[in-house]
Amino acid sequence: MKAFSITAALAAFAFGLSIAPAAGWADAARPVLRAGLTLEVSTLDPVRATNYGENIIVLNVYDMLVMPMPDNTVVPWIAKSWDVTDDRKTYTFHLRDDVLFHDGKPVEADDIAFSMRRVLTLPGLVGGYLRNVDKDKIEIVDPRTVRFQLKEVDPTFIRALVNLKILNAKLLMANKAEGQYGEYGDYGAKYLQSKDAGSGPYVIADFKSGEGLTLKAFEGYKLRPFAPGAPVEVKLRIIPEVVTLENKMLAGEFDVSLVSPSPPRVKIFADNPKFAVDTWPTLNNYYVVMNTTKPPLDDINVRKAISHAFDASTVMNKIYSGGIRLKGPVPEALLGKCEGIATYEYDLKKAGEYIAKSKYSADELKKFKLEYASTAGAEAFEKVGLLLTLNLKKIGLTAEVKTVRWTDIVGAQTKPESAYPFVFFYDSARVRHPSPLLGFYTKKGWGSPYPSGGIYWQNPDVTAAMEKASVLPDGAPEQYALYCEAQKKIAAEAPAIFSHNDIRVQPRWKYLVTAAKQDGGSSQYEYRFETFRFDTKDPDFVANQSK
Amino acid sequence: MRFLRRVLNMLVVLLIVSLLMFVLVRVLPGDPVGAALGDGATTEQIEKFRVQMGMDKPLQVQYFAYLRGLLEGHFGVSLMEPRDVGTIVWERLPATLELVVCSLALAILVGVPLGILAATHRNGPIDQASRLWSLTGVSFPNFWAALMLQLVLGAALSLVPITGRITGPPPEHITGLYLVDALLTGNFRAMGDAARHLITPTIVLALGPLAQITSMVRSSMLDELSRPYVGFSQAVGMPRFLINYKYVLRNAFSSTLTLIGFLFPLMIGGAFVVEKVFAWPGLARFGADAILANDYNAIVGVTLVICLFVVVVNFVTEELYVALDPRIRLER
Repeated sequence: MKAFSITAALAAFAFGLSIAPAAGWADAARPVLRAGLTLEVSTLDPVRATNYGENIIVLNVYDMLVMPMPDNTVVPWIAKSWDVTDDRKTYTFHLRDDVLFHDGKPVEADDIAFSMRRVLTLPGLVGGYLRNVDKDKIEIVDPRTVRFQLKEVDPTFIRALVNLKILNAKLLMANKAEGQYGEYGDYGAKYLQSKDAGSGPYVIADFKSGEGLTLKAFEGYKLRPFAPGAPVEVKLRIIPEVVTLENKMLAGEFDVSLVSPSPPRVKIFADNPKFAVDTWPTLNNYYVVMNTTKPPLDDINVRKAISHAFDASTVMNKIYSGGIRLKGPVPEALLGKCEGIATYEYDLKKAGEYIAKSKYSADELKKFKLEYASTAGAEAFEKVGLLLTLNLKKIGLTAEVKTVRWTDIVGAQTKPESAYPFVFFYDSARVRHPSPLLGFYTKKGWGSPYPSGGIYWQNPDVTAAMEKASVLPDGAPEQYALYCEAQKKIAAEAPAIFSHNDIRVQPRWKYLVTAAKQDGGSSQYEYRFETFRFDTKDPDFVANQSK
Repeated sequence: MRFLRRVLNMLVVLLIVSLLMFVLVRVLPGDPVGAALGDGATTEQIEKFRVQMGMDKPLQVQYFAYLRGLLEGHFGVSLMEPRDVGTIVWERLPATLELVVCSLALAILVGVPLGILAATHRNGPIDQASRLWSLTGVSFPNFWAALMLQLVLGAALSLVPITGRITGPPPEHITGLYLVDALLTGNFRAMGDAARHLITPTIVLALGPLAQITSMVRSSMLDELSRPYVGFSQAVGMPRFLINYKYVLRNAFSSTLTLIGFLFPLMIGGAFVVEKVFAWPGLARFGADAILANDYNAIVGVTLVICLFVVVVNFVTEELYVALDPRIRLER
């Protein structure tokens, strides 16, 4: 019995030792960036990437012909220059000759052509940005020159190229599986589920579905060489719960948060001297889409009344962590100076006045039961809905919040007959240009299931202004004047409640001296990790790196 | 023969569940294909994808194709992760199993002795504490308990990692259960690493079952202790320990066994909150995500696997009844 007790005690001691935290050492020359993603990474294929985490990963593994810059310009990247014909429909790109894929193969024109054909062939988000490219007129002029022909003039084309990630054609064809695309098989889709074929600053070292992935610096990367203090390894872990992610930040297991903390938790980081909290306005538009094809929302006065009954200040500052009021579909950061846009401040008296002007009587209005579709699982969306329905009741409108699965919402929004009266959406500027955001308010944009899905409103003046702007040189003052005109016309008729652009709050440990600084839209270019910098001498850096 | 008949019954249950789930997820509103392909997918691409997934065929044809696939080991392709659901389930099941088995073991190892002590010291401090525990344990929201433990044990005291299954390299894959694989390969560093990660999620998932088991053992023991044979045994001088553990507990344990039989599959399906908060890469989290994404094949696949556990555990529980109480005969 005694011998047994001694053995058991020794075994317990050994087990205790084995589960004790292992000591580690930080390597100042090889800093590791650790961060969490709240959404699952389902694919590493640039064409199929949809959520912010997948976009951040492909952005770091792949490179593009052009690179967006913080001042809203785009600069040559893999392409060293390009020519445009006078009709603005043919673009010829001249490539650098020193860009290598991760397997050492140089990036050539056939890779660019392959990547563009693949994007246009496979279903997915990215193909939508580049749908004006004529797939049959992609020309490889020589190994360093490639030419694209547009089906129609597209002022966003160069900016949309940020979404075209360049793939190693030879590698993908060597690893193609059986598929429906003839000689291309599956276009390497299966291979790209978990592997990379890129030329970007990082290579995928390890990927585990449901857990996360590790990126390692690509030693042959020449487009923006790694400076001292730049992370040579990036560990991204899937943490579905934001509060857990914040706890990991506090424990020093993460260096930076790629998502904003919940409003009450921001203070915890702000009050902690070891953390810095950066803030900047995002390009995420928050708005309530109204189905203007159905009564009573077909009445402009009812829509204006509803816009006045929307308490944007409470939504921005109490439900979200602050924001900038949105006046129309395009945020100020993208449109520049545009004065005279109708604004709808929270004013129930004014709302009542518009109700009185409505073609529907008060009794008729009471009979309508307006549903506000709130995405299941999105607590903030529900709160916005509850606030809106409460205020609508005060002006004699009956509305109720209905929790609906996201897939059901997107299905319903594709047709005016099934679109909900109200849906709260947020939409990131997928291309940093006013045109795609305004395009939803022309007939061409109808039927989209996604934000801004469910808009079935148009105005001939808006359509005409958009058409005129599309043939002007990108960024020309006349072009932006037309966009401003369109924005004003849209706001004047209130086809949606334009709420706000939210504020991104980024807590980071102070030893991470350079991290993201501003919003890059859905291309997430602000998260190119080779631009991040650590102060590797900071004692907290040393302590945390071993966790 | 009895065994064969029961296996056949299990197969019939699984078949009915598969049919029910297959039809139910398809008749519910919502188009998962559009959502899976993302914005920018044209109607033509959506239709092509629908054909590729076999969704253009009549429901009965789709179902028989699904069954044929099951026989070949294919659960169909997930819309969330374009891979076979079987592969994903196979990858994720060990994580959930390891968590659930550890939690259930903790609940039994603590709950049974606590229930016995409460019953044998009725109305004493231990009993009062156990009754308080039984009430609060089932009332504790897992979510809250998880976050509190993370904050205290992880963030403030740095005693345990906050999330995940392992920090360092996982042990060589044999079963997918890290503790078992580490033990089999003699990789004690990985074993310690995995054990540290298991501590908090195991405690949180065990809270409710522990309270239920404690309460059930206590009440069954009290029932049994009031029977005449207990008084007689005491009167003839049989040691109290022997009476309690050899006779009373054995007779009282069948209801607890039923409870444990229920708890095991319930914990597999219900572990999603714990898996979400602790970023545990398990099956329950995948199943919950599948429901939100309306991922047909994933919902059916996960349900079938959980159902399989229900029928297998029921089978084992019933066999254990016989072992515990020879008066019970499953077959006349």
